[in-house]
Amino acid sequence: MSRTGDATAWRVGVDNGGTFTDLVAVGPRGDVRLRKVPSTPFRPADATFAALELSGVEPGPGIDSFILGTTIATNVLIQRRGAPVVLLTTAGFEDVLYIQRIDRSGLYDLQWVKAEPYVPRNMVVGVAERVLSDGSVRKPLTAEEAGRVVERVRELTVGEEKPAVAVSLLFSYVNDSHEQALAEALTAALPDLPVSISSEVAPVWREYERTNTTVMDAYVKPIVSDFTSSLAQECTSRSMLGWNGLLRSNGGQVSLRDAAERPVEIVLSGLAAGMIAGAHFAQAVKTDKAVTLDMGGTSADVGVITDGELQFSGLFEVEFGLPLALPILDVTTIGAGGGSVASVDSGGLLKVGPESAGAVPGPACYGLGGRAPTVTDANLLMGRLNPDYFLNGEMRLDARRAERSIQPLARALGLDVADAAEAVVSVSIENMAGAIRLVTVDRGLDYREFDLVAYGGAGPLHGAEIALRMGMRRVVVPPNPGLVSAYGTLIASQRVDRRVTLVRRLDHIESEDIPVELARLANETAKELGVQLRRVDSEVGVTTFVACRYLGQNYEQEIRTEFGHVDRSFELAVAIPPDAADFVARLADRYHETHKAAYGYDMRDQPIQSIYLGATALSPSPKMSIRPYSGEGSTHSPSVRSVLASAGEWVDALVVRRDCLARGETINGPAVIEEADSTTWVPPGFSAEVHESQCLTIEPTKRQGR
Amino acid sequence: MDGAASGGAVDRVGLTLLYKRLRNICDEMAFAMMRTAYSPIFSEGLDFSTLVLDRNGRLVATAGINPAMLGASLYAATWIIREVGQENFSLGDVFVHNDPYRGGSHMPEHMLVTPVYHDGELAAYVGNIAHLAEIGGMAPGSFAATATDVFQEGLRLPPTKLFDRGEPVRDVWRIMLTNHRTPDNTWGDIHAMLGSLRVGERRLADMLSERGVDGLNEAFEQIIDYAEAYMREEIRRLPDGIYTGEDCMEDDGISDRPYWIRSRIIVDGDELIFDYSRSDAQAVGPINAPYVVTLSASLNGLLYVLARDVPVNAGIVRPVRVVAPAGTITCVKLPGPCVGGQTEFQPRVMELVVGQILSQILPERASAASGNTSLNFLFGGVDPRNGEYYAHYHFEGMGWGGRAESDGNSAQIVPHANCRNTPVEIFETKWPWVHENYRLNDDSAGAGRHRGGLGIERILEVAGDVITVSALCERMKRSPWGIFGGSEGSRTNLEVSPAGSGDYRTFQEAFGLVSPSKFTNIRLHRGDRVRITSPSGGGYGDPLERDPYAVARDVELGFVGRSSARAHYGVVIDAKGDLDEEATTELRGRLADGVE
Amino acid sequence: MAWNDLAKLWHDTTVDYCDVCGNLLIARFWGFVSAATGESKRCCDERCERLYYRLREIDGNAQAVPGGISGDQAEAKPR
Repeated sequence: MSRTGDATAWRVGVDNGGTFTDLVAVGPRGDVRLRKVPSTPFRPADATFAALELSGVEPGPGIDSFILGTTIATNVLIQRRGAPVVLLTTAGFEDVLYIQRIDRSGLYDLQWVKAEPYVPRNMVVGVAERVLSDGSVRKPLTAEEAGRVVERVRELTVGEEKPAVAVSLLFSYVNDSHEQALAEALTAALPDLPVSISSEVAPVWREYERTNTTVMDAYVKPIVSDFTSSLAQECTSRSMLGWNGLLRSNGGQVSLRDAAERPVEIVLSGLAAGMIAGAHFAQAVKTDKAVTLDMGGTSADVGVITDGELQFSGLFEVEFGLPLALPILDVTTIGAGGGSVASVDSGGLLKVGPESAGAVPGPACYGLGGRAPTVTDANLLMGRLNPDYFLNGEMRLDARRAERSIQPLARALGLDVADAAEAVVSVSIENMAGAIRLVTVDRGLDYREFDLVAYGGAGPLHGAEIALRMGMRRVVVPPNPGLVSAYGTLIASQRVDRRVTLVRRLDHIESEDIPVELARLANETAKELGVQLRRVDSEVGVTTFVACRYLGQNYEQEIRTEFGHVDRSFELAVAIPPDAADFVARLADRYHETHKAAYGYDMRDQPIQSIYLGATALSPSPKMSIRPYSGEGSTHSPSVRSVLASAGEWVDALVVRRDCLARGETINGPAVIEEADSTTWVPPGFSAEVHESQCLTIEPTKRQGR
Repeated sequence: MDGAASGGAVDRVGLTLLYKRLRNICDEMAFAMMRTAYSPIFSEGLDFSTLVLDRNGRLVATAGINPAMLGASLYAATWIIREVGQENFSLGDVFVHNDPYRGGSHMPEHMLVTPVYHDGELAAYVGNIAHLAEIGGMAPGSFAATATDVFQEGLRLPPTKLFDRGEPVRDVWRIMLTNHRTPDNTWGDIHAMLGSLRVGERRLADMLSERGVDGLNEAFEQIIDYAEAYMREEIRRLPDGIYTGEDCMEDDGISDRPYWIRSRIIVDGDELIFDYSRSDAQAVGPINAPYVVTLSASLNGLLYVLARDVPVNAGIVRPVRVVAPAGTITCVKLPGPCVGGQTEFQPRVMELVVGQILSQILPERASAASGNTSLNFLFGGVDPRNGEYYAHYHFEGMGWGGRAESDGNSAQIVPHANCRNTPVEIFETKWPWVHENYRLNDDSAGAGRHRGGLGIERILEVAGDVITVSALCERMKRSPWGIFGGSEGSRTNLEVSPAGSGDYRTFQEAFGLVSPSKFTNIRLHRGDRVRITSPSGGGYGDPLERDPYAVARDVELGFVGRSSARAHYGVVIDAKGDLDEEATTELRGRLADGVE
Repeated sequence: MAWNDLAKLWHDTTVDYCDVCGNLLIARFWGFVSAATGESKRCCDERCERLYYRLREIDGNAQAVPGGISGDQAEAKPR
């Protein structure tokens, strides 16, 4: 392969997944290099650089930016191979990790075992101190007590390999002085010991969620630091001295060094990468409302874009009972992927997922030993997948094995094999539709006004039918749908998010300091991003919000305000500059409107309370143009294949290679559009058009086309 | 099964899809309620359910939030529809109802129901049931443990219009808001319930435009039939026979005597009868159950061991009959009080069914007794920080019983409910208390091959001038039982320590009460402290069969004390804290022979 | 053996119970006379009547009555 060794810059994005590591590199003229290699879970840096070596991009100063989306922190949490952590709590509340929230996941599951905390009980130290709900100090933290605690931490960590400390005291989100004092004492006495404190990691109320988040930060810290420092070393040794970073759960790029400082913020790095790219392609086809669906082998991740922007959430659970209370891209993950297993329950109903055949043994048709019928097997039997062109032809799919796997299911349902296959796909589509409904409706959004951006290996195969069933507007299939996550890391902005608790009644004079605090927070956030940026001329934008609720409610809604430059995404909203004289009144007004839009009513006579303020500083990645497909020159000729369309009807579908399609070209369904990393199904009555951005847009057929 | 799916197999797939959509609608309704509610019992505790009902008021789908509300979910809406008469409903009507003598569970739980129309035709109903934290009556928090009739338990509402064709019926609102101690909360919480109904209406409208009224109701019928067939299949697998068991409520708050619940389960082919007719006459105090609570407890017990994935709807009750004669503690007669039936009687009966009766045929799915009390602790007063009146209904987690494959979970809500705790930080922000601690109660669990889970200890200090407290709980006189050789768990305790004193006495001793666990309107003052100790679970199986390394780990973590390890498990831990295998084998041998 | 209305004045808010299962009677009841004792019974529906006899049969002091014992009160329809 020819090297593009000229001095102009490449931007490289890598998605370090559990099974595969994907790399996308974009060159100065928009040319694209793609590479997929098996992951090396215990030394993730190895696969990363292997992919780079194989990609045809010269490692070195020619690489201007090198960004990773990684599941390393996620996997440490799931596989429980993190650091030994000592937790410091307010004395009397040492068992917060064991008590949790006292509910359970399955209503009728008496056998359910509560999630084991990341810190065992004998590694928790109670600290004699107490802050009250208004921030006043009831029991001061004395120097003697701090000294005693430090000694206890020393004892507990002696002989432990790479330990860490988490500090989470009651009401530290109102008054952090005791946490800060402990952190100082620890760092002074034990300088090598990493310390995570809750008032910095997650300054929000609800002590269990905050403590657990802080503990997770400490738990993943040593492994993530090792990872980032080995990445940094490898980069240096290859003279890659550009912008080297990771993608955070909030969808922003962060330097390797900063990622290691607050590693809990990269827990959803891998998921965020996919969503960022989904949002990017939604923007490319100029849609302001879209649902992103990243459907891979074992799971499907659903996100929402309104006003052109991804949504954020304040809570994510690693498993039931282990929450992460951080602003993260709002993603709903369900166990529905190509590898999801179909079965019949004891009432005779068909179920698909959440169990997955995974990559190994995989669907029955992989021929790797899997026997359970999966969604991929069903698609193969319906003619929607090409047995000879799967993963660029690197894997042959075995239809006989698929058929054998589905036969018992068909018998139990009283169907023939093809109809059973259709039923499996249909249930899997409803599973995804359910997730999309929930995600949109949670926010008072009507999904029928939304486009569906479908990607991941299996997304384009199901997207059109999901949209059809739900009455969504149209489907957008990005280029190289199987590698979209790697692409997402490239295009993400650099980003810093900060929150601060500020409880004020908007109808009282005390609310006067909201705009003042907001401005201060915005400045701090911008400054922090400025430190992280290499270029002084980088454009930095800051948006702010105030989370409010009716006095008496217990959950907040974030009301956007505006600071710095005009926030494009919020053109529709009434912008409230913090220096506006009627800031608080307008904030209240916006809150009533937002509440009404979300839940169908407002309560204009009820007082409103602010709970916390937030600011986000963003510096967008430089624009780039890409040419993902070599395009028009390709000679692969179209063919026709029999495909089970719906309700038992087999149709002759046109089969084309995606890289043969020209911009502006239209393919009428039924059609199958194949490419190395994914397959797109265009049902009868739909047509796919190749958009300017090289996305496919699929809509009910208009009267024109091929 | 064929009878259940007479529409044919393709319809069966359609049915799965339809049921999923209905469940999603219920989840959406629940989410809206959680996000907008005022009382932490909604927003943190999630003490509510959301329902979709067919045009006859039969339950079709429910968001599984709180199983305790199952019985009411099946009957309360039916009551409204039958009593009011379907012909008297109009578009935009919303009915409220909390009457335990009309299909409700207990008075704090309010049901809202609204009819859904399609092209002018009544098509279905959506509803929800939620626990309002304060509804008046003789004690703040509306959980009057010393009530002797239902009129002392709060404001009782038969099916009543809250909205008439979309317009609020102001007189009714004003009656409710006047009789509740915290009208702002009622206002906010009822609005949260109304918002949830609107979400449900909007979603059902989509389905109706796809299928029409008859089409949708036919599908509802199929979903109900499916659940019935599922239950029949599960029951058929059980050996026919009559199985019996008993347990009791330890007192009713009025006199110091137990009330016995005697149950027999008759498995009869694919049908099953729960017969409670040999139970004690109803109590004077509020531990009685309305019929739906006994029904709920029985069905929940069944679902825990038989069919935990069955769609919960009107179909599940068809193969099951519950006999609970009126006038017994299992079916209270007017005007008997019953607020504690839902929280104390129901879990007692549910665990009697699971752990004492069905365990005879399904030991591997059974569990020893949990702490088995909701540990209701109520309080109200004026918050010195803002001069406003507040009231709260607090409940506590406890230990679950040991199980065939695992120890009981510690600090877990009583199994017939699925509520969450209120975080200390929200607790203290909302109400004038300061916690001294909130921790697990060490060395308290019932020993067993799989031990019980630990209860908790919570010490609270009064930070207002006066707080009026009440309690309604159980397991202060009788311990949670173990099964298959497991030991009893520890008991509930409610104690008080006057300001400045370090000594704790039970409320009973301190205030000269009839019952240690059921009392109302005790006035506490600034600096007084309350210690709540929740019970731990019973053990499952012989403690001498417990993996000695698991015991050693429990000792290391402080869950089990060194001497308990020795006395109950025959496990010897050496001076370094490690397991002494040799000494353990020898001690276990002697204990098994009854030597020590 | 017949359906009867639980005729009540609008201002009568009292309630009635099924003599067999104990559940509350709504708007109407199914009445029958016990073939065993001669007592007249008010119950939810025919299935409660069958339940009554089935329980007596199980307890070994009455004759068998054909038909299942199960059903859902809410769907009972007058004959």
